[in-house]
Amino acid sequence: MMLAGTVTAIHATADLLGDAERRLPAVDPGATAFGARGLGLLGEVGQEAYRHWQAAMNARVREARAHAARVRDLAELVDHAAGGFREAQHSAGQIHRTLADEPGVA
Amino acid sequence: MDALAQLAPVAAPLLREVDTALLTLGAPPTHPVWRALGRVGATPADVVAFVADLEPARLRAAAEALRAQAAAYEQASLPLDAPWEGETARHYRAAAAAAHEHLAGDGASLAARLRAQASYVDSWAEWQQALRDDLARVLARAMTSSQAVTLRSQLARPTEVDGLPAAVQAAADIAVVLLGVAEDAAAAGRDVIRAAPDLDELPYRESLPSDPLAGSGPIRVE
Repeated sequence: MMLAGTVTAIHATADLLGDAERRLPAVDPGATAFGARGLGLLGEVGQEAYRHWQAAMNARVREARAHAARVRDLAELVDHAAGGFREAQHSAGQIHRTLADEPGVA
Repeated sequence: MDALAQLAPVAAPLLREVDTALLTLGAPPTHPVWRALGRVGATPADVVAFVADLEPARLRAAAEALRAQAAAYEQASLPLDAPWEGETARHYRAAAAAAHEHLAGDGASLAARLRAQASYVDSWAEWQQALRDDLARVLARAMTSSQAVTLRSQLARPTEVDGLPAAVQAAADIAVVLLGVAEDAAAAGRDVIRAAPDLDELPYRESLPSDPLAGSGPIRVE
């Protein structure tokens, strides 16, 4: 895979994580679905279940956000390498042209 | 439509009668319904109405969505190889491998956490369905019980006080079995919470060279 393809693939993974960060909260079925609005003992159980769910969902969202940032850092790393390569290629081209312009150099 | 969805509307008049009897006539002093009412904190009619409104399908849908997200993580194609050489390439390979492991590796990963959370919410869907089924069974028995007949007979003839003690006993008997379902379900619910998998945020473990951009080795692109 060439550098550009590598960067594209990395960005696709970062975007997947970014989408997950935005979309995961919408998966929450809500307190009522867990029975957290009920009266008495069953309501207490529902509230505990929902609190646990919410804490877990917040953790999933934070994980997606943090990992999207890490993956974007990877893309930057490849960009940095690509920049170095372009610079080296440019310098090599200049040297080649300079040598070609000099009389007596084939 | 499950059994409770069918039974709850039909049982509503009897449940109102049970609640009314408890609230207006009370219950025999030593009847276990007093303790059950204290523990459950709701009347039989409230319990049935609450459980009838639970929709395990909503929780199953959430579990499905989490599994779909986990599958997307597992299918993500993060390039693990670097198409060039040098210090930066070595750093990239190490960082990409760590990032891939964290996302969807064989051990603890973000995909595994999503699947664990899906299992957790599925457990609650099963708990709700079991509660609905248990309550439907008990409710069906209560509706055809001799206590239901006794209670209805008395309420149909409110002026005949001779039948009152039997009606009070009947209402308490019906109430205690319905509240017993709620108590058992609450205990099972606490078990679900205790058995929940680790759903805390997964810490990231990276093993990287100190400075990824400090390398001065040659860059060779394939």
